[in-house]
Amino acid sequence: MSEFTIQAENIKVKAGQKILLHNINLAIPTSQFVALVGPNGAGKSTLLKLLSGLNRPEKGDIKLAGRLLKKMTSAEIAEQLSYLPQRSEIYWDYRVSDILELHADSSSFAAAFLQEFDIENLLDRQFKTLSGGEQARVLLAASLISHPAILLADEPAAALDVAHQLQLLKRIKDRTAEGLTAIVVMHDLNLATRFADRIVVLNNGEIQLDDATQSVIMSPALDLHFDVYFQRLTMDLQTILIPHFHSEKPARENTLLKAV
Amino acid sequence: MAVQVLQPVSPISTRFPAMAISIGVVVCFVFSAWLGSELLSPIELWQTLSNPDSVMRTLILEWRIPRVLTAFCVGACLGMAGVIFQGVFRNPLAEPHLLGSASGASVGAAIALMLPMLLPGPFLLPLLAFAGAWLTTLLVVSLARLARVESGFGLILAGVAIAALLTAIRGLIMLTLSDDAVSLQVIVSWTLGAIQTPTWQEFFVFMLLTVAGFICCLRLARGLDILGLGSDAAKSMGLDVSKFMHRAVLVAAAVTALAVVWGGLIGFIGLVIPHMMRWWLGPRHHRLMIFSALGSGAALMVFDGIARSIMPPAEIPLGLLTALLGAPFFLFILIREARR
Repeated sequence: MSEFTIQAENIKVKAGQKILLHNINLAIPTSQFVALVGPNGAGKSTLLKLLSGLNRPEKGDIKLAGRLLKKMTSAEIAEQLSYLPQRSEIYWDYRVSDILELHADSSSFAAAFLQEFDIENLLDRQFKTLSGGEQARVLLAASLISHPAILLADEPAAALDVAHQLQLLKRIKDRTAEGLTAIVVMHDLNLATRFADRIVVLNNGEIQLDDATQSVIMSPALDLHFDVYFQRLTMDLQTILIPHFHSEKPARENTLLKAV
Repeated sequence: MAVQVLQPVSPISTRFPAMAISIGVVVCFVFSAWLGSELLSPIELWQTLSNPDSVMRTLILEWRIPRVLTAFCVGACLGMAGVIFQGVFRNPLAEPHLLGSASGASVGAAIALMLPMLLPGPFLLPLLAFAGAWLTTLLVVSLARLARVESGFGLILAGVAIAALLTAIRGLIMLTLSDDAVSLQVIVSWTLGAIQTPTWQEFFVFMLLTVAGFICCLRLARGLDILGLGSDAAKSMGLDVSKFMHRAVLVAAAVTALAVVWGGLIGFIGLVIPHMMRWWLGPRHHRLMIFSALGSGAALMVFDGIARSIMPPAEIPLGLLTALLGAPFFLFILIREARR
């Protein structure tokens, strides 16, 4: 049995002549919250789809608990892994309970589970009539209802207000404490800093940085890959990144703030 | 171990709809069996049916009732095919007629009439109709993919184009058959939609095939439900999307072929009834399949009854009647979808 829940080895993906991903090596152990970050077009969603088995790499292997993903059936992959896409493509006028039922293959749900995601009053509502925050909660609940070992989420907090972003990421974080391995594509580096155990920076189809959260955000290379200057303010061991254009680099650089 | 409190979901009750549709099917059956060139009063009907020497009794029992039941099965097949096509392509405008599948089946049937020596008649016709429906659907889907307009209206446009081509091919076949008056008449009647009048034996074979098709369609229900959550979500839930879609199209083509062999080209039933059922009962495909099959069957029984009784002794082609209702409904859906 592998100590890593999910592994990618020498992955390469091309679209026509364009190389989307290459030389990707990643090994994620159980219970880790990994934030996958990078500028637009870096290949984050492509990598997540590869890890979830939705797409196949040109070269290289992906392993799930030591087993080659390409040798597993869709059903075997689904038993271990849940993929939360960037955009919901729900077509018909499903009720929330329909969506949960289809994911759980059961028509009754644990009350505690519904409370955890604050969706107990939404069951009879049509999904399309929910607010963005409610939809995101339902989709996260649906992807976790069958208790997968791994969650791959593509910007689950995008388009949510700050409170809902925090709630959603905290729910994922809480689940990682219970054994879930989460790989989450994120754009907000401060939220990544707040919740992730580890940050993987992808740029130009390659992994540029892959380390514990604090090491990655303190690395000067981060500024290079995002093509901005990050002012780093540190308080109570929490670092906040404030992005600036290179031309507008502030006079005071990295600062250690004291609590008032 | 902690006790898990389960919160059951209030399911959409199907008791009332089930009763309503059952009563509706029986009423439509009786109504359609009653309709004819000569409309009997209930007392006359009772007297006719209780007189074993009555010609009218023989006519009703040996001719009209098998035909009414055949109309029910044809309608059921069209309804099921409509549910599958709409579910697989997640396109509310998809139905056997508009996707070209029914036209493919009719070309297959026309070829069968041209080449009667290839196989014994009873097998050749349904087999070629099935092959026509299946190949046409695959062609339409491939063309839509090639043109990168797989979803939405692109699929329908490809279906309309292929259907036009197939209509031309069928026209050429009809020209070559112009000396063979019987075959030509059969093809013309198919083109406009007309329920065949089978013997009881033939009807039982058709009914068994329809029931087999119904079971196959029901087995697709969960996959169609999952597909409605989006392709990526469906794949990540363990559905082999590509394999499932091929299987579903195959089943839909088979039931379309059954409908075409026994009823010719009847448009819009597979579009209108599944839609109405979806509005009534929600989008879950198990219920939708059952109720669409029953509802489409009931509707076609009534349409067929009207077609053969409204201008006696002539019959109005069934396809014309369904188009009169279906085309405005199609436009309504088109506008509704365009506004979404």
